[in-house]
Amino acid sequence: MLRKENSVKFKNSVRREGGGKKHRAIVLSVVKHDYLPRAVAAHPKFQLIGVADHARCPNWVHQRNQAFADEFGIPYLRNVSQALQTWKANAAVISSEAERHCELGMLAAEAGLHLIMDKPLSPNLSECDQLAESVRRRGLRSLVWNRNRLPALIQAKTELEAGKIGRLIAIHCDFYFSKDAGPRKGSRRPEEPPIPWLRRQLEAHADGSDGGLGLQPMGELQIEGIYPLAYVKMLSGRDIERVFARTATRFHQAHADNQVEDLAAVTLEMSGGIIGSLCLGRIGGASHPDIGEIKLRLLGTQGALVVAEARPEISVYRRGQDPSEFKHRRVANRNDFLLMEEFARAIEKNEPTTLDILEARNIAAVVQSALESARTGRPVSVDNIKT
Amino acid sequence: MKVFLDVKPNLEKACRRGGRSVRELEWVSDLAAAQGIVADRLISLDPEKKALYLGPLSPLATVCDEGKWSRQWSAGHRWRFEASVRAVRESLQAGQLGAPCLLRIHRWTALPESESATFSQSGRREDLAAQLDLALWLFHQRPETVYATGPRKNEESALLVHLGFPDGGMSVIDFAWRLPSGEDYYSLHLIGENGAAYADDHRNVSLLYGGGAPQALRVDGDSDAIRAMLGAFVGDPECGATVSAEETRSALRLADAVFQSQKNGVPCHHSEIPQRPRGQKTNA
Repeated sequence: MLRKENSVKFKNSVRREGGGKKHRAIVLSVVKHDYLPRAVAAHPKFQLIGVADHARCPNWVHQRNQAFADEFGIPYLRNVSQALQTWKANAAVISSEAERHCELGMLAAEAGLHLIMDKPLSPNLSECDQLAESVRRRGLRSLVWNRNRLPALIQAKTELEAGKIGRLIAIHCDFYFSKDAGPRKGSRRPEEPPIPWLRRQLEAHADGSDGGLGLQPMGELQIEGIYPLAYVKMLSGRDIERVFARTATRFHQAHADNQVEDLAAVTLEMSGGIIGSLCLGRIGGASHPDIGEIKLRLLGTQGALVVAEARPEISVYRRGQDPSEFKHRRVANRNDFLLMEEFARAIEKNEPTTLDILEARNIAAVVQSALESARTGRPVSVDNIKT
Repeated sequence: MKVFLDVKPNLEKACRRGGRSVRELEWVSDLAAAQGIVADRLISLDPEKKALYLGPLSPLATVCDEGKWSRQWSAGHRWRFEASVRAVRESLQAGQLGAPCLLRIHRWTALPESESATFSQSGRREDLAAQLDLALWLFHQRPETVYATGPRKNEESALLVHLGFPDGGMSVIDFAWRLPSGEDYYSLHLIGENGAAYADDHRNVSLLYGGGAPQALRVDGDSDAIRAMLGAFVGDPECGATVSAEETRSALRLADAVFQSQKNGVPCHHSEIPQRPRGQKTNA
């Protein structure tokens, strides 16, 4: 295994200014969150060499890919296999529709590329399993995008590891996005057709709230759940073994028309007897002055810690301020850079990333169990793969 | 109304059992004296006289079950009268939030002085009932599912309650009873269809610098809750309604369903959750 890891570590990387190797990253679809490839491009150890996607993709996919390629002055190739064979990359950045993440990830892994994946890993757990196995077998490094390197999360981890609250016994997370998602629930007249999921997500691209982009409708647990569940995993170091969940569709017509939840509450039972909870939702733009209330509460044997994920921040209030503008702005946020730093170290020194494909796969399993619990009204065990 | 100031020792004991602080007790006694309110142990209450019962909740349920609770009496629930809780409730009542969707409460406290290594079952039941009462009050309906779980080690130290209400309403209430000796932590937020209200001690602190990391000092508004509770008792419309014994009994029964779920590791469903008797009005 180690020989394989070493053999792919610097394959296809190029020497960068000032010495050292620069990793060559290929962008496999950039139709959703372009902050992933932007973060790659911004890091001195990485270089974007091109964008590729399947020729069979619809025009809007090609338009978005082409626009990104043009902005960065790199080619766009409508042939993934050809790009993987000829561009000599050693990493792939994937930000397609969620239902295509794993398929593109498999192609990149088969070509021996390390993977940076957008969230969620996939709405389909069996596809996550296949990708996790492919990456493991080839000794590749992977990073699924997350927010674990935000300053408040780093502080929480530091305090916890320093033993400031003793041994962790409970962890609770609120993760609300105070965003609208098209028309309010109940606003569609009976004669009007249901809102197609993809159409709504394409519209949402303008303000970056298209995390559910794709043909397959996804509820907020699937779209956003990976962020808070990754916090829980990082801070507790434990697997979630059993969940009890309630979900509802209370805010958005698109969610109601596509039978997916926009609000969820999940009880978490973890290994080591730790308990936790997650309250999550896309609860409407009127519900908070900023992006939303995002908090962590950690309870230990010797104390407790309450953490606001948004800190540090500053406040700006001004005449003529757009109502949609956040009045509290996060500062000193180096999350994206730090993620890329750890990905570079993962490739070069075999260090782990905060959220690799196997961990993301286990989070997908938690989400799947939570949705099943919400359907059945019963606690459901989580099918974890041991890391 | 007659004032029984000589009951203070008993009241003190009762308040401590109910998790109330001595300082709070003094406020209650002083204000009760000022406003002419009877504050006594249950056993000494006169069924013909208006009374605010401030003692532990469990005996109240027993007296109710025995049909001995007088309609002249009210139960002293401090939590409904907390300034932050009242403000959230007022927003809800005014229609500003729309229908309630999700209620989240974190109630963390140190062991009461009277408890030793662990918080007793009766103490936890009382604390549980006080917060469950808020959920029942804010949703104004009974839950259809109750699920509860606690840590496998130190199981008396924390409890997580997950309620499911009809139409998708949900509530997650987190209890911790083993904070280091000192002040409590409380946080409540309510997500409604049209907006949300957040009440969190985290937000209401001053910073004290005395070297090293600053100390967070909560801006204290406790006396306001007691004043409001007493105000409601004497009929001040700005203070809201008092809490009936039946509502208290409902919260206690729900607490029992919580313990049942925790013990069995499965949810209690509608048929297993005690229902309010038909025709029973609440102080909504």
